[in-house]
Amino acid sequence: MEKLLNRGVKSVKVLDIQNVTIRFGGLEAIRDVSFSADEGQLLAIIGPNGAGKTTIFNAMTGVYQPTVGQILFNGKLINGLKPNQLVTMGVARTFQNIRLFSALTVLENVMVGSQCRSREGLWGALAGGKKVAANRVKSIQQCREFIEIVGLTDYLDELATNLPYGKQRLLEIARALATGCELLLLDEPAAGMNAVEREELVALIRRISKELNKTIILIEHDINLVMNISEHIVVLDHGEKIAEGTPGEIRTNQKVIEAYLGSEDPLEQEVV
Amino acid sequence: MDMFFQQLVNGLTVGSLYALIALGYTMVYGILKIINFAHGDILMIGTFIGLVLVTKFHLAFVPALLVAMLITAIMGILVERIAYRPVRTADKLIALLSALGVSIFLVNFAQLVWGTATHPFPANIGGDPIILGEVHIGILQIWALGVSLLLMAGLHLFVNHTQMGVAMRATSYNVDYARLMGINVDNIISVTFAIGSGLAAAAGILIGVYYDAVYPVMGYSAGLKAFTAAVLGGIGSIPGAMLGGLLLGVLENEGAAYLSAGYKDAIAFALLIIILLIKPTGLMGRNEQQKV
Amino acid sequence: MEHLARFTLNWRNKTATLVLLAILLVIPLLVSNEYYIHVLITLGLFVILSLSLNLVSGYTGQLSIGHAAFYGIGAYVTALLMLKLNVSFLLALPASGLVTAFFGLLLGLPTMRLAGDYLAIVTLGFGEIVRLVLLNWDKVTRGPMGLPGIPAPELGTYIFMSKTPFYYLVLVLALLTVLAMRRIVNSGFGLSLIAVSQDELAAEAVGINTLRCKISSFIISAFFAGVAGGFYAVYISFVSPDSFTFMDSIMVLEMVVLGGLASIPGSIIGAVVLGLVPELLRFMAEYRMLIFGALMVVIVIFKPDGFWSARKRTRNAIMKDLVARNMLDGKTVKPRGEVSESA
Repeated sequence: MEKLLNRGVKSVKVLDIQNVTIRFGGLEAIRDVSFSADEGQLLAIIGPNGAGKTTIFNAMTGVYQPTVGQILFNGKLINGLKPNQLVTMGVARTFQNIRLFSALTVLENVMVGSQCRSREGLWGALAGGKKVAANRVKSIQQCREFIEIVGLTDYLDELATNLPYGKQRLLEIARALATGCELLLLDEPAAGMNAVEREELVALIRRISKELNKTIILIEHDINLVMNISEHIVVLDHGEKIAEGTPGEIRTNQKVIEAYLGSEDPLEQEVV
Repeated sequence: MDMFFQQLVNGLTVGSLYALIALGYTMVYGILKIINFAHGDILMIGTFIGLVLVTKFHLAFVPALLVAMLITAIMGILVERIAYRPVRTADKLIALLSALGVSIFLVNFAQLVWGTATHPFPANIGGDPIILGEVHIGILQIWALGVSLLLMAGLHLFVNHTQMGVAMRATSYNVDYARLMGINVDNIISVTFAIGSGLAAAAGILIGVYYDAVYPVMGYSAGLKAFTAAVLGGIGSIPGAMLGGLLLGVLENEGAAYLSAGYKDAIAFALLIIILLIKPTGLMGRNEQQKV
Repeated sequence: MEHLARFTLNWRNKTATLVLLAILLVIPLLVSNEYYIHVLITLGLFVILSLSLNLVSGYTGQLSIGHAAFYGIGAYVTALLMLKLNVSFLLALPASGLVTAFFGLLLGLPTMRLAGDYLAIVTLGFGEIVRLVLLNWDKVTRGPMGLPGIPAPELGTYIFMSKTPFYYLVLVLALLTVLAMRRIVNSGFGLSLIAVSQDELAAEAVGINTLRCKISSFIISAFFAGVAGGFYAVYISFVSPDSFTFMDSIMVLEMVVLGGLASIPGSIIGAVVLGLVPELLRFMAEYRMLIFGALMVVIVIFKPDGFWSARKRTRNAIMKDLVARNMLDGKTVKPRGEVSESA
């Protein structure tokens, strides 16, 4: 109910990061960073290596806790919540270095993602029966849809570990979608992909954003890709936010250019 | 207070022996990341070898100790070659099972050769105890403490001040890097098993003499305690094993004296669980953080 | 063609299961030697124990080397309930399962902070503490002397006199365990357990409460081990701390690992093989355990994946079951072999 109300109110951001600082011992990985994502927005976080992108990602997903500051999801404070609690609330993610369940099949990986919404539990599993079976049918059909969306239907019965690298990334996205998330966090989704795969990925991310209406935040090294698809960009450097704005604004921002080592056209050089 | 000090002396004696055995566990774990469950049984075989050398070959105690250490060291190398090396790349559980197979084999071997009965250990070490106030320090305790401290000091020198020792530490830090630096990892592992087994033989013989009892399943409880000590100190850490051994020996004896003798061992294990829960890597273990 | 293939496979499986079941049912009628029946009963117990440990160590990936403690707790609870409180066997057996399940919960809690070898050490410590308590709590357990004279089970007016009724009872218990384990592992919950064993962080990141999964699997596992213990108590009619040692825990773990981790047929095969080998080696008299130890080393060196590798597990079993029941279309399911096999 609260969620529904919140959606109606324009001022509530899906994700709101307020003055977050993250320290590990003496090291300040993130210093006083603030930004927010509106509903349905496609936001990118960029920055040189070691800028703190993954750190802030981990804070958004409950892996790390902010030392100072607040993180709000749909207006609710999520500091201190565990990753699995955040997923139940509607925040899902993929990993920079792919983390699939390698001994499970493509379908099973996605089914694991859908578990947080299934009400079957242990007793249902033990008791069995028509109702449990019907629920399973429904859940499997949904999972198949997500697999269809990322284009892995032909691999349904294949073990995750046997998929080519690029397809493993897609499977991670399907698994995240199956959690029924509202906010999807993609950690370098294009890493290790070839040009064709990247194009397909861009189309997929657009589709997830527009058709499935998900709010998406992504970290990406491929600047072309970022400039191409994101509506809003946050630039981090040395743990601090140095710029924020539309792709056009970021492209001409002096601070951003300096951060990328002062080369003539640094943003193009980032492209691998 | 006298009881406290008496138990402290008893605890340190037993603890120094635990430490000797714990070193074997910790060194092997440091490099191979496996728990060598046959370690206690290697100790038992070493003790029997010492016993045979004293009773059948009429060697004096110290030469018998040294020869038994040497033979047991060779046995340790053999066990590693036969049972651990072939499964080194497999799942760690597999190595664990292989170790257990060795353990069962050794116990039954000992039972076949020496029977299941308990043998006394006539070491012919005589002498008056040292008496400090009400506290008695028996001659056997002095031997046990003295020999184990000497061996630990020797190990310390070896590990920190020889090339082989440095190579060993490097290997325990990271096997792959060590190999890339030109260290022959296979040799290091052999040496590790040799040293661990030799120390275990020494500890076993001292235990056999101290309690005047040698029997085929003696390695079980000695091994389990020493293993506890190794974890307590932080498995993989050599100073940790020494500290853990002494600490466990003292706590166990004080606990038995003040709380309950029957639950002496239970105290040790409860302590182990509590320490693990508070500081999983033990008192002196390295922290390893997972990268996301 | 595909449908036909699936049908034959199902049919073959079902027939094989039914034949096996029929054989198990008539064995006591054909075999008069009590010793053989005794061996079979022991195998039944081993099957329950290895299946239960497999849930924790195989599926959920939490190494436990203190499983005999659960077995022992179950045995003592049944023994004490029947001896001291005159509780009937029918009540005592589930009660010992429940009490043991509570201890499973206790042992599951440390998984909050510990994993791998460190957790294994805690389970070892737990096993030793339980044994030491049984050994030292004289007033209740009579210490090393154990508890003799546990009455035979009664079902109504029928009293278990020979080994045959015990055989059937353990058969029923083992079959129930197999059935329950199958349902558990072939469910969403079961997938979550495998996910936890594969990558805890990723499982957590897709919304699985990993702690709850780990604790649940300890609880279920302990329950079945406790029931097995309860059966053991009335079957042998005597319990003592000697029967629930570290070595026993290790034996069960061995059955699970040698059989094949995270595999139900594997656990059964492991239990049967490791239960039978020492019996078959009896002719070697005193060399028996010596050979057994050596054999163990040889087996793990040559068959590190176990007798029945988890790789043989049916892929997408949940979906295939629904397809077989005509509740779901199997259009997208490719028959095995068309896609490349795992490396």
